[in-house]
Amino acid sequence: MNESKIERRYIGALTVGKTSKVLDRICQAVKSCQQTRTIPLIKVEKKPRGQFYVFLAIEGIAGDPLPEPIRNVLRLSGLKNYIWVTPNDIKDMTGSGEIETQGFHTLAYQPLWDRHVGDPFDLPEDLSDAHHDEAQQQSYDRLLYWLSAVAEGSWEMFVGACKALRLTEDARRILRRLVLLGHLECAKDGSKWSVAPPALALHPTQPDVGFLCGQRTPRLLARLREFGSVTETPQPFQPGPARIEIAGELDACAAALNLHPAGAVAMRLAELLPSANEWQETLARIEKPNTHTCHIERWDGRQYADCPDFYQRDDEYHGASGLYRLTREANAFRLALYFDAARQRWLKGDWYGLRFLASQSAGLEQEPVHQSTTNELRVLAAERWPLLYERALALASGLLPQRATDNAQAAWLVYRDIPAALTGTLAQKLNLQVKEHSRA
Amino acid sequence: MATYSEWNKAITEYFVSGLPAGEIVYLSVDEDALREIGQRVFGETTASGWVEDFKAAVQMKCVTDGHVTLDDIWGIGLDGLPRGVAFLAAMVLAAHSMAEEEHEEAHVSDTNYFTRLQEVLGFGERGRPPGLREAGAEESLWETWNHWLIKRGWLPSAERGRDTINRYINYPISQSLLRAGDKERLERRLREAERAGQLRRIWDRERLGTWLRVNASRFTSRHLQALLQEPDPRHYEAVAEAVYSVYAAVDWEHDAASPSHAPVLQRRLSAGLYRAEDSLSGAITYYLYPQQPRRQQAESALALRKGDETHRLRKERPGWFFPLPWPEDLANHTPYELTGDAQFKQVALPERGFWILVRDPESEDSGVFASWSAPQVGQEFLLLCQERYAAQLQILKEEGLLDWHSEFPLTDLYAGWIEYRECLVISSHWNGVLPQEEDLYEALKPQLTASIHLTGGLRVADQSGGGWLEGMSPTLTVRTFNDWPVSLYLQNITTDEAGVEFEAFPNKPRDLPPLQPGIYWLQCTDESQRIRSHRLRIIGWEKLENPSPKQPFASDGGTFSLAGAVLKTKEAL
Repeated sequence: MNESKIERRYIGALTVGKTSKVLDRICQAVKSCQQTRTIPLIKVEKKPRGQFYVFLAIEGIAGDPLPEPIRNVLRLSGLKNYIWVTPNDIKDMTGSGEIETQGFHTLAYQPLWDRHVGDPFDLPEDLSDAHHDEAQQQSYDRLLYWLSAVAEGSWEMFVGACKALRLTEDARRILRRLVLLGHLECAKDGSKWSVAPPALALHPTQPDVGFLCGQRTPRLLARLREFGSVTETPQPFQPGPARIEIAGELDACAAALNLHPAGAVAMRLAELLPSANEWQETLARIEKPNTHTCHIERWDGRQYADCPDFYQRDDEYHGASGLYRLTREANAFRLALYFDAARQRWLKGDWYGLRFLASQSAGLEQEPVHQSTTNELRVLAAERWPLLYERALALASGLLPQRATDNAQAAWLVYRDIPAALTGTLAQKLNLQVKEHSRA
Repeated sequence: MATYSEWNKAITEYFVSGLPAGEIVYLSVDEDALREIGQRVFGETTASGWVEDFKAAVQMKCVTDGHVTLDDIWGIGLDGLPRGVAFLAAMVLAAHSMAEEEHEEAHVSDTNYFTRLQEVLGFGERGRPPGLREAGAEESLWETWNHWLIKRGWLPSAERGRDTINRYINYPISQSLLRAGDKERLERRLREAERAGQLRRIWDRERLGTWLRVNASRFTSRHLQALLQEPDPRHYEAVAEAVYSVYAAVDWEHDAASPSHAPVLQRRLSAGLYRAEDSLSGAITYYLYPQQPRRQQAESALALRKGDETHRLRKERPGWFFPLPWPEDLANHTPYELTGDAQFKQVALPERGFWILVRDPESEDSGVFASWSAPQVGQEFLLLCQERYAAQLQILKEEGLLDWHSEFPLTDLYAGWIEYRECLVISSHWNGVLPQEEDLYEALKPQLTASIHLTGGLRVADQSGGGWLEGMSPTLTVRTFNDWPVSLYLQNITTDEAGVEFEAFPNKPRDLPPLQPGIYWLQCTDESQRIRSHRLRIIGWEKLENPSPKQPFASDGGTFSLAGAVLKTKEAL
């Protein structure tokens, strides 16, 4: 302990009036007498009644009487008599014991403890995608450049980057689109991401044209232009990084730029994909979540709704299989999970994938439509496929699906460059019947 | 025998390898450092030893016909390193040996210093050596070294003296932290304190640093006292680091009857604490977070043994390994055995009654806290402490010095510990409040009156300390206890253009002026503020590189994995 220090001491003085006005008057006096260093703190009882004490901390002054500048402060503050008190006295001299402090040269304290940015897979209830905004195209391209340079990071960093680039879309949707286009990969729980290796993928319908997936930087694009004709195509309807196509010496280009020759990846992926049941086994599991501390809702096919029939007793959960949303009451953190009632397990993953599982477990049938003359596949937006399967569709063209509305006002997702063989393979894996249209 | 160029490279790498961006670099060359560098890099020495080999290499390069000639060591070499580092190291070695003299005056005599430098350079006279007679002839070497450090993301520490007498010799003297004899004096004092029960064997740098501050007056050497009372926390961290390396090298089981002449090597790897919280369940877990050894020159082969299992330590970010994957008992300080390195033999959870943890600087909203750094002015932190500190904390709160959002007593493995969440030091008026728990009080008490916070924008990391992308600069906030505007000066140090001066209102975010790519130095010009300077780098989009991720993820398809468009079957893997 340093003996040379003069301890902070307090004087107490009786006053009356509204606390805020008394404090304002004393603060003004302390400032006008330039005594903010000597009187660093004022204490007063919270919500006092009638006459009450106000306490002034005094530093750097030994003994009594008080020097003239401090007495000036008391005079200007309308405080006539004072007594020396200890911090313990202060508690005894205030009726409620609740004390308000007003310091000089202090930082405003505005704590924000729960700063979570939400679960990356928990898509907002409004499932309609934003319209394409050309002004934002450059920002999406820049987002991919940044992701490529940083290489890996947390979900929170991703949200921060979207915010810095003033992207107006929900970051969860942007993340999903980047995964769909083969630019990004995520940890199973979504907490972290890493950029995908730079690769040259081929269209299944045009094997002499490649498009870029994964890491890309302005420098890489400049070098790419040395190897052939490069075409930049904005994403249709939904915002995302532009597709970069190259036609020319693809093998030489891939070798020179260290691009992984991914080939017709959409076809290979479709062939290797597991069945929907097998795919379930690859999803992350949440072990025995405590649902007592959460608000629970279930997806009813159109929206989340309260599910009073669901309950947990010890480690046993009682309720129907389906897509649930758990909201932790303590911090409002939300998590979308698929509950498999028979196997008593909670699965985590891409929101559309979980909805797909819920839809299948409810026995709902889906019927995508393939148009062989245009190589287009149409899937109802309300029946969107799990991310890994939809990826096989997006990697066929390097483009996100377009939106279309039919005469019944149903929203469809339209995927391009999808040959019948690709459709057939995927539909078989997902246990779907495809309706074939051959007319234009 | 190693040449000047070889020593130049080895010394440079020794002082910066593995050092996180933003750290202050001291070229604190002494005989121990030269022996360690020699053993690590060159292996074999001549009969005269590493120190003499080094001196001979410098003399061969820089002394011609009885004169010092610096013509061949100006600027940056083909290897990208400043050519003059080994010569500067010789200057610091002279400063280091000068302090063997017990009489330490307020101003170091330049005659004493140059006498030592003459000896290092092989002359036997007094005063500036021949060839260096013009005062400040070597200053440009220091400037090159400082600029090189800033460009690579570190902060220089060598600076001119303020008085005429030490204007130039302050450069080497400012670098010699622990001088000859200091290490032995320190070791003796540390052993005495340990025997008296004042100091524990398994402390970390921060805890030792706090103890040293509280006990600075008990050190008899004026030089040590001055070091331990250093007001700038970042400089003090370097001092604490130097003392910690002596502390962590002490073999407590054996008495050091006489000072040894072997290099003082740190045996225990430093470690911090890493806190993660499950967002859904709220479960909190603390992990041991090993620090990378400073001055590590090659990829680490360090592995940790736990029971029969061996766990490889992998680099997580500059300065840190990944946290160990199992929850750590905060009361267990039994060291884990380390393998794979000749120097580091163990790592342990330091014995501490409290931990000050800050949010992940790379991902503030992730809910992760760890011992990355001491909080700056205006930076919230999490205080994890034993229950016995509650009374002290309450006093600090009542006296308007500290505030927090909530208290959260922990249970199970962490019973007896309390988390004080979102703590903030709200006042600088700490001197009037006498401490009950000196260690906690000293650790929390602010040393600076303000700090510069750069937030937002788009930042990338690279080998040169990273920076913000052009057009995506951060927002600047000066967090200060004072309520008047702060004058700042921002200068592009990669060009010779004059800088811009501007004001920042206290605690109010403001945009920076538009910045071209380059490296900027942001300084406070207001002498009433104690505030650190900042390095700010702006990177052009066209300069972006695409490094591979250290922990790449892939989508799991059961029989295959898919990374973007790159498909691999598990058989192929």
